[in-house]
Amino acid sequence: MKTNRRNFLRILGAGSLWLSTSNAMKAFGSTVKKDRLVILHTNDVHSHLEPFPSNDPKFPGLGGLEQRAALIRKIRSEDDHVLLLDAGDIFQGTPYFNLYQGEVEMKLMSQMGYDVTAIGNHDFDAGMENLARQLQHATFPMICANYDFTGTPLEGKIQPYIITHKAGMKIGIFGLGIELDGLVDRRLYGKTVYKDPLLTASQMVIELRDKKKCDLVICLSHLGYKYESDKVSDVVLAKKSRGIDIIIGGHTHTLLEKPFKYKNRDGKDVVVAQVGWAGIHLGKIVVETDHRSKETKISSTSIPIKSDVRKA
Amino acid sequence: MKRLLQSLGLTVLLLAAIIGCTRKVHVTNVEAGTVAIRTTDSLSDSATHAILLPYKLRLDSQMNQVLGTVEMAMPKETGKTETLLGNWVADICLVKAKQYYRSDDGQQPDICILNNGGLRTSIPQGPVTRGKIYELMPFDNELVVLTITGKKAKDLFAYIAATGGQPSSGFTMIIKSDKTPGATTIGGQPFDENKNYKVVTSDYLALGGDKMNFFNAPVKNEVVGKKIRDGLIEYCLEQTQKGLQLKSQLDKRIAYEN
Repeated sequence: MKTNRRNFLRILGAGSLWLSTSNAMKAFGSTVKKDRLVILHTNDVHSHLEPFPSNDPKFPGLGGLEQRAALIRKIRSEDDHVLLLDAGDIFQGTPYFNLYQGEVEMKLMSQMGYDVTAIGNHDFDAGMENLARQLQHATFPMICANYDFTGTPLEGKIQPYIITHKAGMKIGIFGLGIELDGLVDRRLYGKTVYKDPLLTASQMVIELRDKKKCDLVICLSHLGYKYESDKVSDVVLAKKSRGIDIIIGGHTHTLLEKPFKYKNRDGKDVVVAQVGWAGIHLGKIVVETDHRSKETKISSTSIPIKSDVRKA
Repeated sequence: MKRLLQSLGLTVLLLAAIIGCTRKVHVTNVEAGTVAIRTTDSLSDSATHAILLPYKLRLDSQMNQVLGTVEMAMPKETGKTETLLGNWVADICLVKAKQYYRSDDGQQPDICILNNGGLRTSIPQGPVTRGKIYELMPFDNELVVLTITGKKAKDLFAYIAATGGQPSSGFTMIIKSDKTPGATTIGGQPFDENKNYKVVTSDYLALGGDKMNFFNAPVKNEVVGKKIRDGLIEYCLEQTQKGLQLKSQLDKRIAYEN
């Protein structure tokens, strides 16, 4: 039965269909308690705290932190279990960063209730001492498992992962950062040592999945969605890893209107998500859990909806 | 569920997550989508608004200055050999480097190369503010002049061809179908591999950014003493003083062979 579950996953073009293993319908009964975890995510917001102007050639009137905050508040009012994540490059892109070095971003993201963020290459842009200073304005941690900050101003300030409990689940979230050489001025990242993301990820899965017994493992990545070269990316990570359920990414500013799924080394599905840049989109992933059933239902459907948010 | 999603205007894909039964909690499905955030939605949030406002007022007093008028929108684009935005910025950098660079051998800068990734936003048609130039070039990158050998310059052109074009000025180049450089002219003269060239770029690229390895160990590395952003702002103000609009054009400076 385990084998059946593992083998079974279908994505359908439209409509919806419930597939189940032999006893699944029992699990679908009304007596079963089900929980919903809503994961909201952003990446590469790059200090875009205000919307693009109405005459912008590409994103007229889109984005805006206050608008994002209102949307998140609305979602929180409708769902009890919400995780709010950012995949890095919070800093650099508008005069807000030039003038205030990230203070405003940190304060606002704290107000919005971000749970945790990754570290992007541009989060080094005003130096590590600055990032350490701005973290004092943040109520959320920044995580990265593959940067060794020993001997830098960030030593002891960045943890590899966090564990949180939501929707009846124990959730492990670990961070991965991109190779800094050739991307970030050496003077800015100093003694930071970049470690292999794939190896680090496998260590994190052992820690979170096997030792800490997490039900859900999420990687918050700033590696980039995918590359033409064999450079490590979220897609490479998804395919070459095991034990990661969801990869929420950034760096390449890729807008995945729907996340893609990839088979990992065990043939299990990994959801890979990324939502462009500048806070134009908010990603939303819903994880449904079943506390009693020993059966795993598999459902897939796509619902393209173009209703106006204003009517919400 | 569906009602909720519809009410939020989502494009949603339901995805399944298969979780082994050794776990005490079973993930029965994973669905995901994105929500576009529009100002027209007139969504407001008083808490974040209150935090942002004092910073915004101080920022606006410095950044809302109109520097000039842009004749035609210059979008940030990828996958093109040349763009209005790339040509505009690279041309200005070459002009400003020539203006401020003090040559000790009488040779002025020949060409300018920047990186597409370094141009961070689109410039709309109409009035352009100081703040918008900050968004285009948020980095404090300095203009530098690197003197490089002809052999390194050859590598530079190979890089541009391989990457399908970067913001460039002062030369023309054909990219062959195998993504290698074809006919190349510098200042109207054919490229000479036996000559040294002076290349204007940013200190970021000169120091190894974007793996432009041809900039490693140059014959000379000289700082112009002007940030790229300041050069752009200065140029906008100068054009406006002359009563001119800000404009760019595509001139096939870099083009694929037919």
